[in-house]
This record gives sequence, C-alpha cells and structure tokens, in this order.
Amino acid sequence: MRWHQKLILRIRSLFRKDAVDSELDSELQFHIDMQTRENIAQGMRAEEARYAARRSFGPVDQIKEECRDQRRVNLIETFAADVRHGLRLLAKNPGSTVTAVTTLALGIGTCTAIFSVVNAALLRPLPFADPDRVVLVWETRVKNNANAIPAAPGNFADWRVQAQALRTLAAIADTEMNMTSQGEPERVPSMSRRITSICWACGPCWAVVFARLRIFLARLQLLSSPTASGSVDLAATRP
Amino acid sequence: MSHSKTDLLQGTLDLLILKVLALEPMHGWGISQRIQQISKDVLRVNQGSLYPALHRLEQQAWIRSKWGASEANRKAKYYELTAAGRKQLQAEVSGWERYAAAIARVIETNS
Repeated sequence: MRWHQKLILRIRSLFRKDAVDSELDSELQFHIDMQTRENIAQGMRAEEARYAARRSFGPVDQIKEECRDQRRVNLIETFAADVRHGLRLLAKNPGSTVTAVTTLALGIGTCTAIFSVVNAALLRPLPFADPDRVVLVWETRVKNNANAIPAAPGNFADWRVQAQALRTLAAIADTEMNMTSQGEPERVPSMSRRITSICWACGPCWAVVFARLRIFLARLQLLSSPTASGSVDLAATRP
Repeated sequence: MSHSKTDLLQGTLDLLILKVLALEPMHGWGISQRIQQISKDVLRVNQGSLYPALHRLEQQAWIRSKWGASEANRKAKYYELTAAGRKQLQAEVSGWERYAAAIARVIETNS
C-alpha cells in the first residue's frame, strides 16, 4: 500500500509537473493569505498586513525549491537537463561530434565484427549436423614415435575407399608457390583443394577448414588443444 | 511576551507534525498554528522547514493530502495520517521519550 502511494506521487510529480507546481503555489499562497487575515485581525492595514505576512513567511521561491527536492524527481529532471545541454554542445561543435561518433561507430563495429568471427569459429558448435562426430585423421609413425603426421595423398585416397568407420573423408593441402614476375620472386602460402575432389561448398571440406582454424588458434594459445597440425589434414565424419 | 520562543530541535518537526495530524486532518497553516498553541507559544515552526517537511512525509507515505474547503471557505490542502504514518508516530514518540529521558538523566546527575 505504501509503495503504491509513493509510486503514484512520483509519477504525478514527474508527468503532471505543472499541476503539482501550481498546487504548491496555492498551498503556500493559502498560508500567506491566512497570515494576512490574522495580521488584519490584529489591526494592521490590508497592504501592511500582506507585506508582513510575506516577510514572516520567508523566501517563497527557496521554500518551493526545497519542497520540489523532497519529491526526489529533481534528480531525473536535472539529468534530462544535462542531456539536453550535452546535445546542444554537440550540435555546436559538429567537427568533434563527427569525430567522436565515427570513432565510436568504428570501435563498436570492429568489436562486433571480430566477435562475430570468434563466436562462429570458436565458441559455437561447428555448423554441421553432429559436430561432435567430426574427427581429424593423421598418420602416425610408430618407429619414430611421431604423431600427427600429414598423410600422403595416396594414403588419403586409400582411406577414402577403405575406411569403414568413417562416412566420408576430406583433405586440404597447404602448398607454397613461387610467385614471380619482374621483381623478386616470393614464396606464397596457399591452401589448395587439389587432393580432394569434394567441392568447397560441401560439409567435410569446411570441417577441415574449421578444424584447422581451431588448431591454428590453439597454437596461439587462444584455445587449449594438444593437437598439432601438418600440411595435409583430413577431416572425417564417423558413421 | 515573557517567555522565549525556541527553535525546533533538528528531527523533532516530523514528530510534531505527525502528532498534530493524529488529532485531525489539517492544512499547513493550521499545523503551524496548532503546534504554537499546544506548546503555549514556546515552539515556533518556521515555514521554511514546515512545507518541505510536509512534502517529505507525504513522499514517505506517512501522510497523504487532499484538497478541501477551509474555515475561510477557501480551498486548502489538507494532510492526514496514513496507517504507516500512525506506526511512524509511535516509533518517533518512543524514540523521543528515550532521548529526553537520557538527556534528563545526564542533566540531573549530582557532582
């Protein structure tokens, strides 16, 4: 009940400001008028009585302001005035406004873009059906105790045909190419899909790309993963 | 006038207002007159603190206001005690009694 009454008062002070203010005016005026009547009753002349009443009442505007302070909505009104002031200042200096807004826009845009990539590549499950059934396939050399060795293209071709545990298999090859024309030749890393005949638009290849991306980021220690990567990686979907 | 007028102690105004309003609903002018009367002119309420106090008490929902016709046949803003205000009055009265008794004990200590 109490909060209910408080809420009504607050809302009224905020949205019926004129009504509340004029009520305050007549409330204080009533007091002054009553004092005037009493002064007249004590034998003052009307004019004199009014002045005396006003004098004894005190600074009306200050008292009004203190009454308004009690309503607690001054906070909100002051804040609104600050906002208006801020907007006026911004309108006065279009140069710095444009700079500030552009800076904010670029900053927010960049953060959003980076987060979108990180979110899609790292945080959310891989965009395939049953992402937990995607595996990376490596060769292991038992003699050297070497793990995660890239597969030879021939082995990959055999696995694709023979592996019973995997529904499908895709591979990606990192190659480096020489790029040269008139200047210094340069070694350019590239990622080719020569080895697998599966097209880029299909799932298994993307699985490899995503898996590689995660491994790459793991190397940057963004993600913890014990896996290392070689130059030919295989992704497969278990049946 | 033989006796001096005393300014109100900080924090006692709320108590006096609530007490006066417990007797009957009253407007601001009436409250200040009533306090002066009952205290036999010893306590004088300053308008500068009376009206902010009334608005504060109203915001606390201890009193509520409505407009009514005054004795002078004018519209006046009448305040009345709410249920929460009645409870608050009891709390303030017992608080004041404790305070006054403590001060009295200190003052009356011999040597």
